[in-house]
Amino acid sequence: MSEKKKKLLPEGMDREKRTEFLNHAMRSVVPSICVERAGIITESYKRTEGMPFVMRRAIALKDMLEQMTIFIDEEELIVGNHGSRARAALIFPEFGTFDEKELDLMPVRKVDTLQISEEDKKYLLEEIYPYWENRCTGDRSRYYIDEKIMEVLDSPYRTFNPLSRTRSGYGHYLPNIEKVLKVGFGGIRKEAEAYLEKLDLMDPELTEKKNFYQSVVILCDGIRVFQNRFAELAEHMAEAEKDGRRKKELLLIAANCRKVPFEPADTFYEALQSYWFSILIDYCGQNGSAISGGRVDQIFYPYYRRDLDSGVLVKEEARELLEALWVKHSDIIKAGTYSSARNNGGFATTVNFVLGGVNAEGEDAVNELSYLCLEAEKSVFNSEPNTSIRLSSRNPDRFMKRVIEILVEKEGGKLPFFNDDIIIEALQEDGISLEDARNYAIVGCVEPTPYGNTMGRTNACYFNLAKCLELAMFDGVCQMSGRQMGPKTGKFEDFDSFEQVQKAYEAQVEYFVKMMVSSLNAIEKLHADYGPHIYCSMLLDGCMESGRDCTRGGAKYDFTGVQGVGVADVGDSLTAIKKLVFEEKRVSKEELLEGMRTNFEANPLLRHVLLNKAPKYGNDLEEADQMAAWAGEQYCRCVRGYTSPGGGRYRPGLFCLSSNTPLGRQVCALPSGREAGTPLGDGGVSPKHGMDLLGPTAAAKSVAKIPHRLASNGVNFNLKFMPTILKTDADRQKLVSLIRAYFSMNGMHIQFNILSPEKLVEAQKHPEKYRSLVVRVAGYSAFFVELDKDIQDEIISRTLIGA
Amino acid sequence: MMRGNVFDIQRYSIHDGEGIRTVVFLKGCPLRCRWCANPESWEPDSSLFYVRSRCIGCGTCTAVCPDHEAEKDGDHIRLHRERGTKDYAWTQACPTGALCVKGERMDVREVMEEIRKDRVFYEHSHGGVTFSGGEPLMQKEFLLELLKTCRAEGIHTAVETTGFVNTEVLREVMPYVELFLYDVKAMDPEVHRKWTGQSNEIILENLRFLAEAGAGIMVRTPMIPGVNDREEDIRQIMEYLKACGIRNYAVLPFHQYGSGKYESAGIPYELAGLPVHEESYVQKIQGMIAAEGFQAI
Repeated sequence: MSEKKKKLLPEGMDREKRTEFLNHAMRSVVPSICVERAGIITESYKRTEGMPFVMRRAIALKDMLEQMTIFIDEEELIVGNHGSRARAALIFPEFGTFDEKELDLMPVRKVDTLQISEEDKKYLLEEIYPYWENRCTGDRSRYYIDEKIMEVLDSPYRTFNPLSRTRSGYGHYLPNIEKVLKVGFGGIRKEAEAYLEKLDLMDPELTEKKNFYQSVVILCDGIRVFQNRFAELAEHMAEAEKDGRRKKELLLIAANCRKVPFEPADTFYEALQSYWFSILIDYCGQNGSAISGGRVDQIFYPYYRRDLDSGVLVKEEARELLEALWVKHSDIIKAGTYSSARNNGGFATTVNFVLGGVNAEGEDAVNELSYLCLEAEKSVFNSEPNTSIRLSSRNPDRFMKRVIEILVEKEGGKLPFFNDDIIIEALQEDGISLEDARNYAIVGCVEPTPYGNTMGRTNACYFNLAKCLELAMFDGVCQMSGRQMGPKTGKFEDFDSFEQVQKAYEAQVEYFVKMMVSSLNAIEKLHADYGPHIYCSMLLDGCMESGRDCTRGGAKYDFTGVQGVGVADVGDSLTAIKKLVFEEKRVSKEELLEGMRTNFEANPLLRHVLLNKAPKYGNDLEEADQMAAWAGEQYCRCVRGYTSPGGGRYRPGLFCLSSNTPLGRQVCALPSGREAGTPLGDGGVSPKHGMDLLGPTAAAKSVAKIPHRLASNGVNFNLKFMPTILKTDADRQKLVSLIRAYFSMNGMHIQFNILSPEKLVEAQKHPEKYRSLVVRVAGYSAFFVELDKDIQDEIISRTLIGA
Repeated sequence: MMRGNVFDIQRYSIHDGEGIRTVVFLKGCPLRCRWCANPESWEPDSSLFYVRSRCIGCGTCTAVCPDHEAEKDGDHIRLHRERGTKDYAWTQACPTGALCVKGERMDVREVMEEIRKDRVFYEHSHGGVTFSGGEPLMQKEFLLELLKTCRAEGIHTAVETTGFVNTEVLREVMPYVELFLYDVKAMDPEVHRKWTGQSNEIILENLRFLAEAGAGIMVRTPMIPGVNDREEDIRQIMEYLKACGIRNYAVLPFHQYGSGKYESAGIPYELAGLPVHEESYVQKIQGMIAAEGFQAI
């Protein structure tokens, strides 16, 4: 192990120890609210009143970079803090404000609990927020969104809700940080100056362009100040540092910060530091989440290779630096309202990193750094960054196997696989060039997006398909509130054929998709007028060239991503209606409506009939699968027709993350047998939980029947596995084959949840949710929840030992 | 078209031959191994199966059964399996699936349709179909049809057998079987008879016959505590395999996962509470087998 000897970092601290230290320190922080930003931004906006908004945004961020508290924590190698303390959520009053009730809830709510002092609360409510009344984008949205739409949005049982987007930036894109590594913000500043010089006085867009480029210059100067503040801090700390090893490290940090991100990065270490500052600044500037890192194994590889080849870095050090960077991502957290925390949970900032896939020539791009990043992921294994795998038919099985091994060891839930071959095709169908399509990465959780040139707004809105089915069954009347919410599409009692049900459902979906698009168009205008995203615009190709902000369609590609939720619930409901009501007449129309209205209270047997006597999506049964596929396709086609004010297209997705729970609360009992208010299916195109009873191959085949490429904004398919079936290398090889086969059928995404012993205990308590869990041994298989309790216990104890 | 009695079709089976496999379980078995995890396979005819934990006691079945086969019993039901005809269509009425029939008369086309469903997975994993039981060779004609069709379609075939059949049957199916998953439970004929209900002479002779004929064979021993789990029990089996020139062998550790099925099938279970082996003991035996140069498929 001569490789162990360090070349860049001083001896005296090893990787494992440092990562453990950093990770422990990060994990032990109690998350809190930091009000500092609110003060700086408010003062800045007061000073810049009357100026163009794009410039005000640039100056505000510059002020922030010059004034915010900075610190370097013990043993850090990658520096740059988000709040004035670790894991402190910033306040973005220019987008939206929290009322007193929300602030009171923050330290006591069960999800995303955030500490805030009484003093800070008072400060926000009395000194900050009054200025923003009628000024923040959230408040201004009332002049943008149509009243008819607001009427729908006012109901807690609405079919969609885009309003959180008025109170935050868009986030959800991939800034071109690779460019920062190459030319530095200094290079970008020069570019802006060159454009300024070339401006034509007769250009009708002269003002917009001039403001834009001047804002870029302002921001680049602010960034330079920011990094130099860190350099000075590191130098001071080094001076005071007694420990020779740490002193040397601090001097390395100082040298890095003197250079990047303003100047181009030359080494691997500089590249990582430059990346971190670049993404951190974005999160300080706007309130969107899922601003993602992209293909880190490709972006950092040239620096890695060069350093290793020239002997200034060893592999183990590279991993140490990567892990330090990985840990840093947990520093950025967002403060959401209680309802949005309930929807997303877990401080989901969702910076996505993606590994693997193909290169510009379409060949296997997996490299040494891909594997090293996997090891870093394994060592740190926090929810951030959200590391994903691009999997092409060109990538080796060995790479997949390593991912699966880590999944088994870490009990899964991360490292989803994305099908490179189909995604690259789908992106081209969206009008993206082959070159850009091959360089896609994942935004947030599952949204494939070309790198560095696309304003994708990939999570603009969730759309409740199941609610549309409810409305279709009751002539547009919401059963949760009793009010007429949708158009009158006819009474189910009067329908003579199943096709009439489908027609009514289609009409409801079309009606509300139109409303959703209209409201999102309005919000896009709102941000273009009052919340330009100047920082990310300079990092999105197309904006610099056109001098147009990305909120106005300046980026090379522009999309708005909207997700249909409830495909499995709608599919299963339609199948049950068709088979049990119209074909077999086992259930009467009145009986079904009564059951939906009353949540099967008077007739619990009906629910069992609906659950068990109609085929369900996820079992490779044409009858049920075609219905889900129809619902998925209908939504996608409906969305695809629309264009946004900036000239971008609407791009449908079929995923839900954890929104299936809040969206489920809005929907009455369904013909699928699902009870009122309970969660919808837990994953965009996944079968309804507990309904896929024929194992993973049948489920995968069902899922692949939905045309994923139409849902190019992303789909998710979650498969739960008993850890006992992934014990041996041969077992894992079979999972590799399963994924390959699923991808050969054009499946776009698959994620495995390997059930932990705790989850199995939960399955014992709630067997209905875990009906599809299968115990497999040679010549035998059985549903876990149907085994005797003592046998279940035995399996759980084995899982504990096995894992 | 020829029909057979199929009591289950299991997809993504990963421990019954190479790759990802679909296992087709055929009903009927000449043995009565007391540890059997699929007791519902024993009777050649379709039989009632009742999962008590799923039953909500709605009484739908008691109202529709023609010969009082099901009777209300508190919150559940009691079955009288001896009553009525073997026509169990009335169980379709059960709204929860707690009551069902094990064993469906299916024709070759229907079974093939199920087998073909996972073709893409076989192709990616070098998998295929495994016919199991029961003893699948008890439905020889039906099995033969299925095997021939699979081979004609290029689907890899395996047959899991007790070996307790007429040698002529093996001779007939052999050309269409790429792998026999062959159970050897014990070398001692008396032990074998005591625990399975039959002696092992025919089984061992048939194994030698298959080996000499050059068939693909993987031998497996369900390792049952106190029956055949001593090192010397396993060694004796390995000696015999070596003499036959068989290189593929593994033990299947005893488990209790099938115990609940006995109650569901209305069959008494004699091994209730029999503790399973420590993982370390299983590993030791596996190590011993590997040391003898045997490999598992």
